[in-house]
Amino acid sequence: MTLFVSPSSDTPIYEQIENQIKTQILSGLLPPLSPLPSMRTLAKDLRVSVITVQKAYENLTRDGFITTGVGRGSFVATVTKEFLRDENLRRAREAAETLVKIAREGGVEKEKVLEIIEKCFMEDKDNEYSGDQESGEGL
Amino acid sequence: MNILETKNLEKVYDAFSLRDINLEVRKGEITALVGENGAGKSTTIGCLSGIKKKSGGKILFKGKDMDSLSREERSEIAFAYDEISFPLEFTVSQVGKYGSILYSNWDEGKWLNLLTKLSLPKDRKLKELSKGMKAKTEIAYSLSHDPSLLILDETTSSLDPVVRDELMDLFQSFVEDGEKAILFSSHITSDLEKIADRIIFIHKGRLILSIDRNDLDEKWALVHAEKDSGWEKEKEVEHFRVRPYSMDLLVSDISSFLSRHPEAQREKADIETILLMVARGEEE
Amino acid sequence: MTKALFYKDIVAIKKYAAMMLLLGVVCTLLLRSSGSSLIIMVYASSLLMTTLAIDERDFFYRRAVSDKGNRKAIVVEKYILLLILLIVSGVMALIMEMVLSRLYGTETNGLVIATTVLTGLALSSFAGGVTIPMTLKFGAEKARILIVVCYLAPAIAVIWAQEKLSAIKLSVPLLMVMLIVFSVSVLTVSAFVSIRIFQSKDL
Repeated sequence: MTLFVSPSSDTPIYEQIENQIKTQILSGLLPPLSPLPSMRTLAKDLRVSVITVQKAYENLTRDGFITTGVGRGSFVATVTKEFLRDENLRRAREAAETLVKIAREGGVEKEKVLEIIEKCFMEDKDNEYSGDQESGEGL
Repeated sequence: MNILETKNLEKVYDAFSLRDINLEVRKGEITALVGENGAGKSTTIGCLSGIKKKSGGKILFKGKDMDSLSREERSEIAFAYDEISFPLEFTVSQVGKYGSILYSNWDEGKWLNLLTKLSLPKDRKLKELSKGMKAKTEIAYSLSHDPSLLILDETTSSLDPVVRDELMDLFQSFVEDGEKAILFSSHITSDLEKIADRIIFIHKGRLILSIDRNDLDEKWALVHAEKDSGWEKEKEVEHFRVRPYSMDLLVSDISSFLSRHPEAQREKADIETILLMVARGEEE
Repeated sequence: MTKALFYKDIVAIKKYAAMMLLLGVVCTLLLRSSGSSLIIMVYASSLLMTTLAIDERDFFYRRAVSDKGNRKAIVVEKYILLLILLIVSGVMALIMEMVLSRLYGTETNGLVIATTVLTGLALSSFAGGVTIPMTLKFGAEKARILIVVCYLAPAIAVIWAQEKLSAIKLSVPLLMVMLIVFSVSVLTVSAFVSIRIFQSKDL
């Protein structure tokens, strides 16, 4: 597991920890049932406040990503395929909302935005970065 | 569970008074006590240790009144100051010897371990040590009788960042089992920024704010506003400070504030920022 | 707690105590008048003053009260230490007097020597008994002048009164008893006063 916190970032520290653990669980880097360090040990190792880690773990438990047993510690939950799909869907939707907001504020039309999204998918598929000319427009 | 609690702690002097101090230190947590020089941090700690006779209020340790603790219970609290409080003729070893005579639960192994860890020379006299080494000796002494509450009064203020980093490790390890706690008064807010679970701000003898780490991250922010915006009157603004070209606002609920002023320029409020706003800003 | 405090004070005044021994030897050799042994006893009680000054200068009270919170024990230890210092120096004075009388062939007997030593005890008890509470109340710096007065004045008074006293022909045993009673009462009252002062003081 890789974790680091940026104290100067605007994102609350507990959220940073939450997001990084979530990402690793979703990508499979942290497989189901793998043990997580105890809250206090993690707080010490990251050099952050204990209650910050507590909150991150609480939120992760609430959202179903990890399970915490009394006296047993915390483990990555066995997530079903549906759960993973729903979660990824949720993240995509959040990103989309941000994208739409930026487009509206910047006066970029819907058709242009859809074009950009298409291009991004194609680039990703080819697994190549095709250069500034194509992706620079409109963004 | 509160390992330490004060209820309306009061200490009245001619020129200064400490009043209505209600602080809580929870098990397993590191609580920071922050304030400018003369704000009342040392006076508060003085009342806790018994060095200063409080004028009023109660102090409870693990729920029991401080004044009625047994010897063993009282020994569970350790105080470490910014300078060593032993006769300067003492050698470092003799400090340990004193501790072993005073405390029945003195842990000699731990003491020697700490001396090595903190690179303290056993046979040198205290008067020959630098300020930083004296402070380290003080810390080693305090930790060697297995206290459950460690109270630090500016103990790390004369130490360099490298040593302080080592000590932060030590302090976090100290509270790691969830049963012990630390009350840490310091003006080196960068240290507290990292490990404090709760921060208490004292100013002119009053407890102004008590903020938990997550709320600090999530709800508190510094907003930069135009001088004539009138925003200082908003309910979420705790303190404000007029600057030459703008106005700084300390906001205690940023999402609520942003719901009415989504365009507000904001930045994270760290401990030092809050301290400055409390000490030098104006209240609404 | 008292044991630890003893340890601390003994370490603090170790080198001065060694000097006391040296002083004893020097005095014996240089001085001839009986009563010179009193210097030793006065010096011993001044050692106690030294511990108070060191405690104050090195912020030791802060440590002692923060560690165990027992203010009474802190004060009581000082008096016990004073007594020990007086007894040790008293014995030294006794020996000195006996050696002196052997060396210089002065006529004397056990009772006279004992009375001399007990006078020293009384003087030192008075000096210590007054200066300890004063130091606790006002601090070593401010009490300094008072300390000098309390040591010199009775010493001078005794020397001046010596001829008068010997004229009165008090029975020696009675005098000895009076001296002991005086010493003990001065110290006891002083201890109570000191405890009172120290209990309510902001350190």
